[in-house]
Amino acid sequence: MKNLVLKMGNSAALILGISTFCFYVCIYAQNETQSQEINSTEANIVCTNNVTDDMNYVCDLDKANVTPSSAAITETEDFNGTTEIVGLESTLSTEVVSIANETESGLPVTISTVKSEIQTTKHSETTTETVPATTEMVLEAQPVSNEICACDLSMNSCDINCCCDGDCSDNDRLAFSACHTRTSFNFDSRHCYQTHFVYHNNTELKLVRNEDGLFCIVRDNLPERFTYQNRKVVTTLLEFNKLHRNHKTFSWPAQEVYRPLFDSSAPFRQGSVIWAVVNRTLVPFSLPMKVTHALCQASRAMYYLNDWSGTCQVPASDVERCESHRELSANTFYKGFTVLVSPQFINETYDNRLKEDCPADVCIPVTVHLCSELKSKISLFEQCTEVSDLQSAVYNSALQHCQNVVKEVRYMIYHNGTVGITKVYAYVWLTNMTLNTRLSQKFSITFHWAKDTETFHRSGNPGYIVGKPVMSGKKVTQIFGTEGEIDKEAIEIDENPEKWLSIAGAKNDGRCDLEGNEGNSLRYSVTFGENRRSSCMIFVSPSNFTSPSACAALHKAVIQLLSGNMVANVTSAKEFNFYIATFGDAKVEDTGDWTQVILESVPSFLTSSSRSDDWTLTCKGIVTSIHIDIMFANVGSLAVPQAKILGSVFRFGPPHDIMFTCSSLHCAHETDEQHFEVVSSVSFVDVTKPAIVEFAEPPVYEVKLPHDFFYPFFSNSPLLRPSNALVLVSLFFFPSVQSRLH
Amino acid sequence: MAVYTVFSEYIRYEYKSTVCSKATLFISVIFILTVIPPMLIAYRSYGFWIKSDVYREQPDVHFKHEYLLIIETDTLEAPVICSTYQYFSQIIKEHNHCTMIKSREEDNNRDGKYDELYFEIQVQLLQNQAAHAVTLFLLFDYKLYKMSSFQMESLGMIQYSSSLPGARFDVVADLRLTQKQLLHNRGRDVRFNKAVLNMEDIFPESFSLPTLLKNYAKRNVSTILKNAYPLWTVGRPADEPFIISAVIHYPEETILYKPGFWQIMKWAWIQYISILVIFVCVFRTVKSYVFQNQLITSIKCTPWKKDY
Repeated sequence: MKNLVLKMGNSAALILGISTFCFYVCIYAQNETQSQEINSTEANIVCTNNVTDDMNYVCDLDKANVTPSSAAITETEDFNGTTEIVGLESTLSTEVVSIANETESGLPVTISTVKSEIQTTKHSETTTETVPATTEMVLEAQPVSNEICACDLSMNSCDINCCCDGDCSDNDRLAFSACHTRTSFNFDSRHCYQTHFVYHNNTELKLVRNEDGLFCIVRDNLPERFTYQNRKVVTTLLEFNKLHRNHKTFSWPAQEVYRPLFDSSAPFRQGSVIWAVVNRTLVPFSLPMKVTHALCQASRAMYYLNDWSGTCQVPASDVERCESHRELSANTFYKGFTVLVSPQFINETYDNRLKEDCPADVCIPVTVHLCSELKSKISLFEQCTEVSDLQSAVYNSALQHCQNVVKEVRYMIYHNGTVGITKVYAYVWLTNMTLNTRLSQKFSITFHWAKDTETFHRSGNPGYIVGKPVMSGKKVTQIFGTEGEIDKEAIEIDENPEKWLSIAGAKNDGRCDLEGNEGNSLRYSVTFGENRRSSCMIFVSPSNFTSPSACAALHKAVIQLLSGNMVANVTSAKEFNFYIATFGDAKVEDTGDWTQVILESVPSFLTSSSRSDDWTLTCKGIVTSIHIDIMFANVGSLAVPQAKILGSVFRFGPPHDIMFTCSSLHCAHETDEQHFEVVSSVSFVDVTKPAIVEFAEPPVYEVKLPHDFFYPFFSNSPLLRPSNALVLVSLFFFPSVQSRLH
Repeated sequence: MAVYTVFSEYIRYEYKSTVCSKATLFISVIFILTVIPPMLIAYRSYGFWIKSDVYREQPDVHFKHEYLLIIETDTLEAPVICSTYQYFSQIIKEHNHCTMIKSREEDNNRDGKYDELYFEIQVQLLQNQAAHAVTLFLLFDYKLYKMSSFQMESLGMIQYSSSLPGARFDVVADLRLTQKQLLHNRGRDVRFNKAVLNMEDIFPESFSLPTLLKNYAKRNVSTILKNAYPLWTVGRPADEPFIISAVIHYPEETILYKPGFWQIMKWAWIQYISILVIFVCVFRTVKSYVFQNQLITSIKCTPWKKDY
């Protein structure tokens, strides 16, 4: 039976497997009977295994001298619980045989490690017949791994717990607590016999376990399957590279220096680096930027025609830093460099330095403007004045702050396409900062065509783009005095998008910007598609409650705040002269592109009363909230949906009584302040009709019959009376009744 | 001697009728009732056409040796930022203090595919500096072969922060696949084999980690580090480096895919046939009842009477 070979990995295996199925069943049956036999006689060897990644077997001979081995015998098969390994006695005896064979063949295994104290049982004779085959196979399969003593790491010295170490004497071994296990020979779990090393009293014993299973491999004719192929040692670079090419793996990237390349031949277009010339040296024009957190960490090269804006923080920790830090001083941003109009004007290869000074028409200086106060509502040209020089940052010891530090720099670059930059403007805002704080700086760069005068930015073309401001304006009528000419209507719209539809915002302290001067109150633009809710506090003092007119003034101020001065003189909803563009590209001349905002109700201050008792002051009927509903739908093709505003409604909230609770009788403290909240909100409602194909209704065929075709059933005929109809039915169904009637 | 049935055989009657007859009409109606309703039942009970299926595969993952590490320290101005991206490390070179990086990938079960990555970075912090937060981006090459040949560059990101100054940060995690869409059942799929941290692309725009992560999370197929066990150890001796050690496992994945035509047909066919069998049996009984009792007139041919 040991001559049976199951050659795996061969197509013949299948046929062989089927043909030898019967034989294997026989083997299995025999193993079963063997097991039973041994089990009944020698059931005193118990192996337990710990279920971890690998299976740890700790064998207990005669339930005594349990030596838990620290290292594990690896085993690939799943195995649970406590297993009785049968036939161990017999296989242990064959170990003596196999190791004896090994020593004969001159292999360095010390026979002294094997204690021949294990008695050969009667059954050993039967099993030794089968097992030598296994041992033989094992020797063939893994001639090397059999000999590896992986734990023997120190030469000429006994490694602790390394039972296979030849440097250890028997006495040395007594100091061991366990043995480092050797891995088993068999890699394939399908073999009929799995060999493991078992340690008993620090003595290495070989355990051959009989695998259960319907099929198993008795002898393996291709043991090479479990051995690595040998590679030759590489001696030449050519060989090395060839082998390396075949085994491409990811490796550390090579060290290379990244630097924007100056190329005068490349066309100057969007994405090209803008170059600055500093003392004949070409450097990329760059601005500070943040990378991973809020502080200015790096400088970023600017690219032609790419608008950019960024904020980052600069710390000023001490006096020296205040005056020496480059980013704090305005000079850094306009002085000491000129901007190269276009790289094509320089006919040199990039060697960092120009041979001569840059001519004035090729390198242009930055025109600097000093801007007074940061107000978005006022146009840039009104608040900024051109200056020739700016003060650099200085430490003011009297006030203990850093003066004239840069808060914001806006570059406006005028260009002519590929011809290059025509003009560079820098708008600089300066501020003071106290030491040991951080200043948030803003840098931006915008590009404009030199030929452009004033650009009006659409909110979409034609449909609105999400995030763009909703266009709004007033209708104006131009009346011609002469007869016969139609009055011209148009929509008046502000050029500044921030003056379009907006809601009230809160100042830094949460207060409403009530007294905000015309056109400069703090408001947030209503942007398409984004639902918003903003709230702010209005602070009231006892003076707001003195008379009904004072309450009316408060009411008026709140309404003005909520509606943005739109509802000021409106008495009826129809008068509300406020229009919203249906499309992002609506033209002002075409009033059909605009839709009037519907005012749900005019918030009128009807009660106009103020009441005061001893402890509270009250203004009745103050409206404190507004809600703007904007309805939109997508129109056009499904592929490019265009958002169209269908209409919008201003809804003022219900009036409230504003109460001022006095802390003492008669509200003596004029300076006391209490607050109430004012809320504005915007919602966008999508009412898009889905694309549904509507089929034409089937045509209706008019079937014409002569008008007296159903004559007897018409109402004017004598027959159609209920009684007659009944008779007719009865005549038809009950002829017997009819006969009886007669 | 007992007698038993050795063999049995059925008698086959034939019922004949003309084309224009009630019998023909009846047979046609029965045929339609047999064939169509199983189709409707199979379809209406859902799952008739299988639109998605799963398979399991261990991905072929390789660490690309590309990473980005950000360590926030108690001095906000001086974080530690290390990267293998040259452009990135160039602009913030003063923050690079990563002196030693170790990486090792291991194939435990020797099936030719890596099972785990051991990654370690030693960061030289100044003596008085204390590390408080770690953000680590690791980039992997992720391949699947079984159905469609899929390849992508994927990201594993770990972020951890602590108020206590750390000495080392250890993390064990699994690199798991997240799918928003089904994969194809065949062909080559390199839709997402593009750089996650593409500096050339990102820098012309405003580089920001939120943008990067937003773009990555938008992908239909991506990877995420799950099952993560971070461990923050405090108490760094002044002269020792801060150590970040990560063990990333590449487990076997259950992958959703879109079945191919023949797979869909096979399952639909099975479902249809199984219901059809019942209908055929029922209507066969109906037919034999109708014709045997001559509820509908037809000529019954008896096999042993060949004389008509």
